[in-house]
Amino acid sequence: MKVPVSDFLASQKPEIKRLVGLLENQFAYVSVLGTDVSGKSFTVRDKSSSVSNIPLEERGFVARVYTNGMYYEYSFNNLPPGGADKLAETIVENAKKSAEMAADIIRYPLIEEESATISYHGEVAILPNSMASAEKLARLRAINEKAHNLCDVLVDLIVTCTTAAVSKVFISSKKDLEQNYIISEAAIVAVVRRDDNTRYFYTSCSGLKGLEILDELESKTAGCVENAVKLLDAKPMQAGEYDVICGPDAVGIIAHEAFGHGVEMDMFVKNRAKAVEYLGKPVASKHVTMHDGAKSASHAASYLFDDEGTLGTDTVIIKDGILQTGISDLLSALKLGETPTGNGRRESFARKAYTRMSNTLIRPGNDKLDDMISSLKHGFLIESAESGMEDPKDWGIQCMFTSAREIIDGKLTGNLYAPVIMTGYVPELLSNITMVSREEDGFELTGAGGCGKGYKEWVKVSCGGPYIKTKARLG
Amino acid sequence: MLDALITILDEYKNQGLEYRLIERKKSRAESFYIKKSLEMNRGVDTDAIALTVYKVFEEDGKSFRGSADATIHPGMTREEIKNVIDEAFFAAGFVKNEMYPLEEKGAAPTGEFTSGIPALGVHKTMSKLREAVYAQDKHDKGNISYSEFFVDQSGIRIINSNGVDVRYTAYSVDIELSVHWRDGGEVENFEAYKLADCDTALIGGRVEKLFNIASQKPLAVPTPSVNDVNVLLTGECLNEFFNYYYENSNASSIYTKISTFAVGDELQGECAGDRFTLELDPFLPGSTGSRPYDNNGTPLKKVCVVKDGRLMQLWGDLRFSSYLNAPVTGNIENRVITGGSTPVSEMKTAPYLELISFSDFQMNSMTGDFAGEIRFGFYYDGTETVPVTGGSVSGNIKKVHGDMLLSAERARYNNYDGPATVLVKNVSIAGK
Repeated sequence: MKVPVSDFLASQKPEIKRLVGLLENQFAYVSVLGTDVSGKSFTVRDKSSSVSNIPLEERGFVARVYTNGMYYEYSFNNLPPGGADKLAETIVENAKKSAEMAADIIRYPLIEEESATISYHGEVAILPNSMASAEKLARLRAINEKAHNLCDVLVDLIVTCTTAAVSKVFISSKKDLEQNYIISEAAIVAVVRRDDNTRYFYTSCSGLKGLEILDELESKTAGCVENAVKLLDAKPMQAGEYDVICGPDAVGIIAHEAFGHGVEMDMFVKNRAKAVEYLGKPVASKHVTMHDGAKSASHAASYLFDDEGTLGTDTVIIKDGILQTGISDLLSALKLGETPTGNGRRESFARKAYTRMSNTLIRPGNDKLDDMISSLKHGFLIESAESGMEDPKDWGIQCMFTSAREIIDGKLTGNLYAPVIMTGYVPELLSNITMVSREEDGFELTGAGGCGKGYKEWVKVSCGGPYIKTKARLG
Repeated sequence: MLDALITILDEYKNQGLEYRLIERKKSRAESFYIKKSLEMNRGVDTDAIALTVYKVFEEDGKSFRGSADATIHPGMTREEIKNVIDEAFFAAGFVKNEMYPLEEKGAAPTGEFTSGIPALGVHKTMSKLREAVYAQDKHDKGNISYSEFFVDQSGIRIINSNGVDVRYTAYSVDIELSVHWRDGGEVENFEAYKLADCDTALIGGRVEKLFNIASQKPLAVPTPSVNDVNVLLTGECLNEFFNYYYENSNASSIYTKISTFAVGDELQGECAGDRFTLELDPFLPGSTGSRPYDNNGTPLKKVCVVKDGRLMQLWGDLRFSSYLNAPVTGNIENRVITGGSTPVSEMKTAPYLELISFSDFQMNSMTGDFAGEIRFGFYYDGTETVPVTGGSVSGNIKKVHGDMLLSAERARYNNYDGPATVLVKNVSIAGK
């Protein structure tokens, strides 16, 4: 089913164009991004349920103008019919004040755009609005009940399904872009308890999907509950350096934190990225090829154009271990004299655009997963990731994982260790990668949750890869 | 927009629709700098209404209150608003939650939150804070590599179908910056601050400390693998550390059985260390969590949740508190922790690892597990003190709170007011 256009944006488009026209009389560059992201989050737990707004929800506009060598932006969400005139006056006044505010400014070149008029409509199997709320809640309740039939130590089973219909328009003097697509994510959290020991396991599915995602979620119920129960017998991790095999989920977070944030080129402009010293140099083992881009995969962060009107691309960041290039937003690319990669993204129309990752992945290799496991004398298989933190200047890395499965003499012992924190020096971690699994042994991206820049500016991303073998410090 | 929405909502009264709406009129100024130069200014003016509709229904002789959320955006036509309400009202009929009351028109709040921002205005506040930050940028070997300033003023009005109609203004400042220091190589020290006042002394002091740490970072050696020394947790990680008790004493966590806490519990068990007291203060100066009402319009007042390690009462909103027949405190974000008497200097008489900053210290309130990558700290082996970096600390709060010590010195980080340092034992250090 084709994702329909937003009625709101369609009705506002003539007034947006009028606003752009009015501002063009005053400024050398003008653009307006209009957004309408709507949807609902359905949650069922043992003792409660909810229908709530989605974190991605937004409806509004951001105007960008160029004056005195710098860009000024104004975000607003009230554009009544005929309101462009008053709004244009506000923007002109604010932009002029802004330009006068500081004596010392960073001057940016003028954005030179090529003409483009493109409209994109994504497709999903089941549109969110085609299923009644009652049925959505009933499907989630059925998962909750199924889980309880499988387990008697379950304290709570949280099931959620979130759909977001994303519509955006980008209007400038040369561009008229429009995109409409749906992102969905669904998750199960199984909370189990024995005596004073509480553990949980989280599983999710996500992507450019509609409510067909519910079938996928249902199929993960038993595995989620089983994994949660196993965690009750997990032992604490003995701190130390180990040989590890990381699964697609863990590889995704390593790629994202290790070299995704590290090559965001707005960090180059701010002298915050060590990567700038390593362009064209080895930063990982020869087994590592890493991509990021709206076109690197068809997943939760795929789009036609970014929040600055740049078309999405597929960037090869690391090829055979050599750092190739970074990813960029429009202004950083202009400042650095680079071609923008379509990674200028905003948390919402009300926030600034920064260089942000989209779909980040390590490419599959040629090793068999079984061979990788049998090559470990003593180590761990790490499969489920929880969170991570970047350190683009000093190249530290922190990744939190739910658990690690012990491997001794090339075999999984059945012993589980939890929780697990992985830390290290990024080039060391990536240079120690000696094996990368084949696509058929498991190559997956996950796009549930979001990515912040520091502690804010949350955007939807996906990340993943195959299995890798490396050496890491665990705690 | 608000009046039009209420008029439409009233048309649903005879169908049993009840509602709560929160109007937020936000105005924000943003400035972005690279070194000392202005990179961009932004302005934000938005207005939206968060609507919750309720439907009471019966099933098998039992009453339920269902609810569904929606957003009313500016410029929505009457027809669009009605569609949104119809959809939410229909969905609410399938949300089977135990019956609970809605807030009623009631008492005025017991305190007042004051901020210097309204007197100065958003732009002047930003200018003064910027001056305070850059006044510290005075070193030959170090500089601020970038900074971001956000000053936000939000007019908030909460109305429900039970007669609640309250309003207040909320202020929020976000500052983010990194400091670079060159001594051999170049290192970075990054921090983000959140506050609700134009507290230039506080911000200036924190940036000064940031430079101080950055200047010592090039001298840092890899954190050693030591598991038998006292670990001194300092800084903002303590808000996350004590979050375990905050989350688990919440009525919602107990109702959903995520928490096993019960009123009267001695939370620290047999305790050889300091017993802590946790109070929630809705009027904590300078905190973005300070407000007179929660989102239901419940007037807030200071409450003592934990006294000397014993859980005295739960905290929570009207719904979950009523389920548990607990006093309704409303949702309060500010935590005040007391109970420490040991000077930090005394904590440092034996070998210790003092952890100053983390990549991202995390406490899992469900399991009690905590961990974080060490960005900077000091290790004292009994003879000398050296700066350290790298590696991680991990542990479980249930294994450390029986003998933890809270410092007499205090610190404040936005919605945290508590000990500046907490000494813990029995934690694992993954070092070199």
